[in-house]
Amino acid sequence: MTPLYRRLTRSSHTINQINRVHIALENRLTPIKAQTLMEAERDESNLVFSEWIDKFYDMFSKGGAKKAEPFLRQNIASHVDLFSSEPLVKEKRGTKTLVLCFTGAAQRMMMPLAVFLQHFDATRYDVVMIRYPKREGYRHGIPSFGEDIEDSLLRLMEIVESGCYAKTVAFGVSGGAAPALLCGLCKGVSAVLAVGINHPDDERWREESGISLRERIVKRVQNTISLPPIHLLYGRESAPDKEAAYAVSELVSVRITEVSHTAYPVGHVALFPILMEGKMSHLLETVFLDS
Amino acid sequence: MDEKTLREMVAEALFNANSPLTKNKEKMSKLLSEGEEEIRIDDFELDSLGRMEFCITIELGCGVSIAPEELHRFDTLSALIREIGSPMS
Repeated sequence: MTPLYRRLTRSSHTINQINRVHIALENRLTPIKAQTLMEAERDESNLVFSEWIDKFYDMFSKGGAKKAEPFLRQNIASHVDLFSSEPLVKEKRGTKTLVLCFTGAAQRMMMPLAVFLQHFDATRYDVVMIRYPKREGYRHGIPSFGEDIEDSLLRLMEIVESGCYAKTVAFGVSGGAAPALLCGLCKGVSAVLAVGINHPDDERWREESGISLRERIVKRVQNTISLPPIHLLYGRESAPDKEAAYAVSELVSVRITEVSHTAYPVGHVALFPILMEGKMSHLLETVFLDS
Repeated sequence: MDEKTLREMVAEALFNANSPLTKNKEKMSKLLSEGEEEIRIDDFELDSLGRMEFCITIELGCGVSIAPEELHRFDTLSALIREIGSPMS
């Protein structure tokens, strides 16, 4: 165990207290820091730690590269972080792809942060992770960037200087899937990947923001001259996600992929089987490199 | 803690766990009302991370520690409420 882990779990006495630390670490550690923790000596007297690290390592190794991707965190604003190997070298941006990632309620991309980042080559990608306060959703905009989601998206792209990159793509999961789609309908976005998207008639959008998701998508499509490729994924056993994906397909041209597995049902967390089958890199290349 | 408070805590835990049930206003309303139609724990549709978040919120709220793997012991919401509301837990 590392001193950091020991310090964090010192006052954890129940499994839930330890799980809380594990979730926080999974949502915060960059690939290099995660690798340091994984390479730490296993403490055989602490089975909880060993089991957690083994699972974490199993997911992490699906990224392929033996070396941890050298992403560094740069906080852009409340709930927004940029991960780049060279955050201060702006000249490199012209050769890179910027990935705008909209997380769901779990504040992650359906997997630990380090596992997710490990699937991107840090010399070719910068990744922005956008989160929202629990229970609020993006229906109130992105914190610090305004209270309307569409105004927030424009402000976000301005702040991260998306125009300086060779390409900008949007990737959203669960509650972040709809904002990724709306982002993709903004000028300058080359591709969208949305997993487990909300239904366009989800009442919460109209109730909380005054405008339904359906109206927002329709208006954006009408104002967009050239649509980027939009990929929607859903788990085969999640009937609401399937219904939502097809409802969105009636409003905008999309490619829909159903994710299934022979050994277990695939619900809302549709990226999980893709990750565990080692197919995540292929998915990202297909969606983002071909755009 | 009275039953109403415990039910509110379960609702909070479901939001924190990103349960699909929270999108269903009718079911959430039943969940908050005593004596309403029984809600099954399976209806929470929690994934593995969701089960952890759910149990963390419950423990923080009432001090009763239920491991995520133990949730299956409770078939219904009433059974769970009885467990977390019992001073012997």
